[in-house]
Amino acid sequence: MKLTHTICPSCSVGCGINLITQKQEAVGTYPYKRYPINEGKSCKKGRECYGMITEEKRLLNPHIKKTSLVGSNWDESLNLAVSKIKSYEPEEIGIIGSGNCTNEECEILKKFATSLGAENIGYPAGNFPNFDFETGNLNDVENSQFILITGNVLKEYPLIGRKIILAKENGAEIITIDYPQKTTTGMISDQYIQTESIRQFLDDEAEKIQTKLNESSLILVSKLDNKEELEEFHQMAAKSNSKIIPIMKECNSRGAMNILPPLSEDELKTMINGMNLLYIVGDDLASQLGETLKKVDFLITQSTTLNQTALLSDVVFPSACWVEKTGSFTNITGNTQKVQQILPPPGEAMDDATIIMKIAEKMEIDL
Amino acid sequence: MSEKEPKIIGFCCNWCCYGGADTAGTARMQYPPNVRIIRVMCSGRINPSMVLKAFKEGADGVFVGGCHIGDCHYDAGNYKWRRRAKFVEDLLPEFGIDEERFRFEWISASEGEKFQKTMEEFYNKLKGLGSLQRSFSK
Amino acid sequence: MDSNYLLARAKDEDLLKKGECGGAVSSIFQYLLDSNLVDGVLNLSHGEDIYDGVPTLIEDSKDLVQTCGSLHCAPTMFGDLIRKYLQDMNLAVAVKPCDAMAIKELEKRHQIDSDKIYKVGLNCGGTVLPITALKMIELFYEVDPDDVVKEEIDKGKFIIELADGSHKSIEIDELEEKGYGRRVNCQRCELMIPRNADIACGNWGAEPGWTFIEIVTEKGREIVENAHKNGYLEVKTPPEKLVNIREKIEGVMIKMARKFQDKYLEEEYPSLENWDEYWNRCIECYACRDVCPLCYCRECDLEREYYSDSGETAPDPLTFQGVRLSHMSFSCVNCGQCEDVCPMEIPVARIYHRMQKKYREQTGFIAGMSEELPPLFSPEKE
Repeated sequence: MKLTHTICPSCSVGCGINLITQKQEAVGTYPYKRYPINEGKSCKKGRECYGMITEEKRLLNPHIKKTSLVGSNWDESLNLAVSKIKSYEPEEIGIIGSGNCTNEECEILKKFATSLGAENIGYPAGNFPNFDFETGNLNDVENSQFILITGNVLKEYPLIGRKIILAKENGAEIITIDYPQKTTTGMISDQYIQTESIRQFLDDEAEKIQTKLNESSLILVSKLDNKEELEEFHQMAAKSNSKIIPIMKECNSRGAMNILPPLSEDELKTMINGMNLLYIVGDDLASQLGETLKKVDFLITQSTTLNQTALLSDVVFPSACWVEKTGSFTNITGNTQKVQQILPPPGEAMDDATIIMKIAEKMEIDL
Repeated sequence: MSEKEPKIIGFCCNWCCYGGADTAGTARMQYPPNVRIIRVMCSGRINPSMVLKAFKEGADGVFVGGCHIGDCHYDAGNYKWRRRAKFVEDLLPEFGIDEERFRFEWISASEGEKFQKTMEEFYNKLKGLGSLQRSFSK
Repeated sequence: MDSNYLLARAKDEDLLKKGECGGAVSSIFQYLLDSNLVDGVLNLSHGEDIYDGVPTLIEDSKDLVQTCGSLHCAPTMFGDLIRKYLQDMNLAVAVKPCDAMAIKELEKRHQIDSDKIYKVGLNCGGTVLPITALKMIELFYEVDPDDVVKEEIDKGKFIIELADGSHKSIEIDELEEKGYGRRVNCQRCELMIPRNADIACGNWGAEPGWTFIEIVTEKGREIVENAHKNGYLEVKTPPEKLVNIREKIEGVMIKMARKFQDKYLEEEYPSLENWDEYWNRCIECYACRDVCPLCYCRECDLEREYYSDSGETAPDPLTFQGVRLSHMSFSCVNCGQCEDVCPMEIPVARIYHRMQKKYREQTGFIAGMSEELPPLFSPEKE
């Protein structure tokens, strides 16, 4: 039995956890109380994140589609993928990364696309746009006098939720905006504004709230309906010298955003519709865009598990989980944290960067 | 039944207290109709979570009836229950529930009158306490 | 070795130098590993710094040096680690009193095999949460926590040692009044000398460079005697004066703990309104249950459909903590892990400790100490 520090890959907060391994297998997690972000506290997803490694549907070797998806080897699958990539014009090729990829993987993927001349590249970012304004840090949450929240942060990002609780215990006023009639975050707030859409809030109530904002205030944006709305929240913060933290979903959303273009669901659909070959690295796109993906001629996927996207693919490369590779994640407050390899990838799986390099090598592209 | 009438959940052991309730019924002894009886095989079957669940679902009082000590059909079930009952009495106030809203009694199958009397007492007690106002609200 | 009390230190030079109080504990582990009485030793080692205690399994006595020295900013729990991952091996483990209490409760429930485990107890006056320690060293000692090479709790003070060999100390009382210092459950803990382990070791009543050992069980006597016979341990009998000093320290600390119990469990116990506010924060993440060394059921009642509240808001405390309290609070060892890991800062350990105390008053059952199971489910006719 061995305990090793790592970063939780479940969301964008970037909590520290101890991974318990036994005979080169992940068996559990243990509180990491020395870690400043979460002080040993983790949510359920965080405690159970080792399940990603031991997942029953882990891919152990490459697969290619014959009549159905069948096991293959690296040579055959790489050759097939490469010959297909070569057979399409760069304009017909779409490349999609993920907020779950490390910064290094995003970089390599981008380089690959550039070398190939493929301009259709991005990663699924929900409703969050690329932004370059300065964000607050987690201590700012705790030290704020007034916090405006969109979404159910307590439930979805509990370790930021904790900082809200600490602020509340220090006397901060909390206002939460969300759709349901009641939410946990709403329950602990001084005021809960139920709204039909973020737009409606911005149009009807934002002005009133603006008067409460000052330099000891903070805006936590975890829910948006549209990319444009973030800028409006940013304006609210800028006007009042408040701090702002947009809370994106994946563990490296903030890092990926700086390297790859963030795409909303609609943008993804539009892009995919024009493509004949799609190369997806690390994202289970089919879980939200299954029908759109079916229209693509040829689908190449790198995935840790046999997920819905893998099942739709023509070539599937088995990839490594976060503790099976070395790299870095950038959390919501812009803090870049290293993750070290603790375990070898299972079976024939390789980390995403290596797979991209192997494809590049066969294509005689120099990365 | 009006809104203000106390709602009572009564867990009664099959061999004694449930029989006692039956005896009271057959003999047409009047007792408050506020009690909803749940028959269990033994008071030893009751665990504190069941009492908690009853309060959570809106009971104003919870009653548990078992065989007299020494008469348990399963030898020692009511001893076990007695220890748990003490624990329930300690636990309820932690959640703002007056321990008087919880009552347990040993009633044999022949003691229809005791069942009737116990229910009347408990009903009056709860009537006096008013309906359970829990401060935790969702 | 007729007496139950003795002073001991390592014969091995490295352990003597690097170990705490003469390295007696490490030497006993060395003996146990070398003689193949155990397959592994579970102890703490430094992670990134002295505030980072990482549970570490040592299988080769050459590696024991990693685990030398005591850490007071490492509020870990070994009970569930042993139950989950180390069941199959013969094990020696360095236990704080709360570890020993948890292990004892698990042994009674056949979750840990007592024949396979040697419990080397370490006296404990309480632990400090690492981040609390960092903050308080900056704030009250005005020292960069990175410059601290060693910390120590002694004579009511939290003492830090800097790289240049200088020391700074502050009364723990003073730190705790300001909300720093030991974890609150540690403040309430009355078991400083783990007499529920095989031996209890520490510096109270010891001469400098020596460890004071109290032998508790026959198994404990055997390992100390044999470690001595086989040349791992140097021992001598402590003068009565030292035995008395140790007793006095323990007495003072127990008295203090009882005061803290009154403070946290009675005088300053959260009101019902406060509790409602706490319960309203609950996100039903089960961290308290999952970290609890005593919650070992494979299927948990809390996840049963008839107790769970689905929905966007907090679960009803009656059927969440209430059910869990009714399952295990009488066995709560006040290790404080539930409170440590609660992402919503709910002071969970307080209600559990309070219920265990009520139960203790009624039945005499002391969780982690009593030899029997709690009488709640006993078949006895009493």
